[in-house]
Amino acid sequence: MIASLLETFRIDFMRHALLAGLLVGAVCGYLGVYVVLKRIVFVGIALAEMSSAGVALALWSGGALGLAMDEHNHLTTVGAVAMVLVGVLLFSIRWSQRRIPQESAIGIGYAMAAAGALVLMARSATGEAHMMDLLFGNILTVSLCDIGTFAGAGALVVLLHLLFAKEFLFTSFDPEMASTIGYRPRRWEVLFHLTLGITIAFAIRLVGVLLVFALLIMPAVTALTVTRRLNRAFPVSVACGALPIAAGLHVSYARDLPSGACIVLVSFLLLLAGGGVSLLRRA
Amino acid sequence: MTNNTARVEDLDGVPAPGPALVRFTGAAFGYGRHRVLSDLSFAIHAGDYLGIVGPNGAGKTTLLKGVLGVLRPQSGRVERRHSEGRDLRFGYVPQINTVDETYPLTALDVALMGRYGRIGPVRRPGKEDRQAALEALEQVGIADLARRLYRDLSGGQRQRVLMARALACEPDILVLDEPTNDMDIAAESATMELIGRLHREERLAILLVSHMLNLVAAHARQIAFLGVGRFEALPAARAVTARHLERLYGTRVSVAECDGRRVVLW
Repeated sequence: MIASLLETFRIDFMRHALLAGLLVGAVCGYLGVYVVLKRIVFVGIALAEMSSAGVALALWSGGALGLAMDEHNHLTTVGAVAMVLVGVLLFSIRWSQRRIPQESAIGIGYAMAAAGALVLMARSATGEAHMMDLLFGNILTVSLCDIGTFAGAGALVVLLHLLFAKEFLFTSFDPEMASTIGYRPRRWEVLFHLTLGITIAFAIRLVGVLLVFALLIMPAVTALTVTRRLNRAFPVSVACGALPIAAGLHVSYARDLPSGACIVLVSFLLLLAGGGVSLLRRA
Repeated sequence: MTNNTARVEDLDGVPAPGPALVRFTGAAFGYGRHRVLSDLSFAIHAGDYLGIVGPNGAGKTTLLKGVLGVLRPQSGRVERRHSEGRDLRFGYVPQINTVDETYPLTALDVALMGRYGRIGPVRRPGKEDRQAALEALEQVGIADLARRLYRDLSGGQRQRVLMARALACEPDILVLDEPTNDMDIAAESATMELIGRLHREERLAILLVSHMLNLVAAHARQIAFLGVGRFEALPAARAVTARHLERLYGTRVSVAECDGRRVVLW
């Protein structure tokens, strides 16, 4: 088993996929705890779709300007980050005071981003099949350059969260009380959404929408199921985000199955196991 | 929310127990163009026990935000000052149903949050902060629950955790928003007794907001009535009289004394 696993990761592109997956799994695992506790799972998928729309917009604009566009073009990264920032601003507005529930604004953002991406994709000079990879990522085709870019962005996000751990926690747990002792919960919420958006924008380029979305939710739910303390939930979630990557990639390689989907299924098995452990503890 | 033009009436008649901590002078509050409270003039002094009563929608939460400084006045002035010249510290106890129960935090974790304002950005809570949070839990009589998850506690115990968190701030004023909501008689009585003890023994100024007239009438030393088009702050002895309440509420009211406490019947 171990020998077979090692054999899988002797191949360059599988090693790159493993490294990319581990990095994305760890960062998404950490942020996912907040995503689940703050009940903003829908924000995660909406920001992911906004990021894809940004890539499509960059490809279409680049094509229209006669630029040679490929998956390593920095313009697509700029497009993804710019659209995520638009999403963060859109979702941070106090819609409830304008009589529109926040969920509706997020839903509209998601639908518009998905539709916009499809329209721009259809009008782009680049081939549709090629565009699918660019928009939705493919963990098996990541380059070291892409991994380095994500590692830089991820390190910034992790650093911010390590430095301001208590601020993020307090303002998300009880914003009302936090505001009475000088915190500005709205600012911390926007900063949290920014770190989430940046992570999503860069992670999607590596592993695709499905895997990013799954890694934002499943490891956190597993961690919150098996641990009874928030300070333990964060490291457990990081581990649960990273662990299924090797197993999923190995199954995908050995059985010739889609890699992202295999990782998601292994994550789900881990979640089921976590649920089982939790049930046994209560019994 | 209702439009509320306050009647200017200070807490005159009550010997002020200490210097004014918060003073409203012709202050008006609202959201955007919608004005909720107008022309409020009153003060909260060190050692006061002020109860604010009013029906839902009268602007109690808005007034609370104004006191805490979360909401800035649209006009007029609100001064918050401590006699030693430092910033005034509020120990805010929100309604328990506004605090998220999903987070797997212990009672000690929650109480420790009361120290965050003193720690400053980036730094983490140290041993002294943990000790202060533990002492605050002891002060409210639940030190033995420090390691229990907040979400696993009863309503009364959770209320005490939130009070411990407020006390961990080392406040000058304890501000409580509907502290006995959804509590049974025993828990309500224990909570009010605890607030009274903190007021007496710790010399804490108390600002208690509730829609329950009897609760406030039985415990507060000064009472402010907040209603449509009025705001009156009076000493409890003058405020809780049948004549005054009948004029305020427009209905027949009786006031009785029971075990040294005022009880309002209608």
